[in-house]
Amino acid sequence: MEVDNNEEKLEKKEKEKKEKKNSLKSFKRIGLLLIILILVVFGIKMIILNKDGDVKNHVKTILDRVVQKSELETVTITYNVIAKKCKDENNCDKSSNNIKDFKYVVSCQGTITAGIDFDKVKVEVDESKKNIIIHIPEASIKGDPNILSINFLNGNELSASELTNARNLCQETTKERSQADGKLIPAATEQAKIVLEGFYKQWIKAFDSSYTVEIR
Amino acid sequence: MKKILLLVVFVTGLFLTGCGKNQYQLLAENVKQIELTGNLVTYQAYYHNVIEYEKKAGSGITHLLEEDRKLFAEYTGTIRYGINLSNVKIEVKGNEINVFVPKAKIIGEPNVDKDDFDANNFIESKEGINKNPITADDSAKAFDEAQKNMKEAAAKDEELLAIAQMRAKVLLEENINQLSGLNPKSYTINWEYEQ
Repeated sequence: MEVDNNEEKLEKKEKEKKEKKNSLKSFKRIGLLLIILILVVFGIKMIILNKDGDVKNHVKTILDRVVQKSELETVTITYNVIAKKCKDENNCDKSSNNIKDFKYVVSCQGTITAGIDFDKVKVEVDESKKNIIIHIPEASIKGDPNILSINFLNGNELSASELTNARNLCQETTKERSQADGKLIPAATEQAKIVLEGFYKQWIKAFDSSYTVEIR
Repeated sequence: MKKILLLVVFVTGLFLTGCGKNQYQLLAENVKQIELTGNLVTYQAYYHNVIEYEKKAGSGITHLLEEDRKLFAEYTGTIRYGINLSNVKIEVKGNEINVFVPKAKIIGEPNVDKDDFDANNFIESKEGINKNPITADDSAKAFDEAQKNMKEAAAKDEELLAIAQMRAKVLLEENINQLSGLNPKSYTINWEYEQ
């Protein structure tokens, strides 16, 4: 009887040992799985962070999208000028402001188109100063002016055929004037900068508020 | 083993959804971060214009034989368009975001170049015995008139107003997508525009 009891006790002990071993194994498995899981999650987060961390690419990708959707590449500008038709082309002072010195003077209403080549945008990132600088290329005039209407300021007795000449004069004058206009190009460039500034001011807060964005 | 798997799925869920929050609750919270105060400038128009200014003949002996004169001048200026962000309404309902975009308006005053109104820049008729000359006061009046004309014309320019509103929409959309924390394909943005 005593032998039986001892055998039973031994069996019990062995069973307990096995159970302990099993539960240890389970704990180890859970632990291992959790470690793997944590590594996977952090791995994913690191990938995302690295992706976001590539500030330059991120800024450029968004820039391309905003530029395309906002139609920032081209801008139509109202460009109205006064054009003067000389009485004698060989003896004419176009700088005169006396209306009577000319065959006629016309007020031309038109538009011109300016464009910005956003392929030439440069993004500069200064990690130490946490500063992103976006360099926008200068705008340039695209194509010829579009003359919408003309209005004679004097010379009421002009023939109807003179209308075509006057329109051509408007076209030439608008082109000359816009090409020499020192304020036009900076203003056309500025209109794109304003939109991008408005966007990046908000965006940087979500991306990383320790950064500042400058549009130049 | 089943229990372990369940635990793994649960913990993964916690990590991915931000401690048990529904992804659309997160969306609503993230979208709230968009700052909706102040004006958002979305367009700056440059104008090169012609002003027609009428100078009336003066009264009194010194103005004898003066005639009314029409003066013309070219001038340039800029004017800004945009929206008032405090009028934007963003409402998140599940996976739908409803956004109300107010009509664009002129932001601030036109910036007309005063130098364009120098007396020498006016095109005029110089004939007559007493030519009713242009004074500094005339330049100032013409400048004021130009500012007023420019503002009125800009306020009526439906094309530019529409562009400014469209650009505001683009900027709002980009900001929502940046801040949402979700793939933009997982939610829908419904736009309502003030006419």
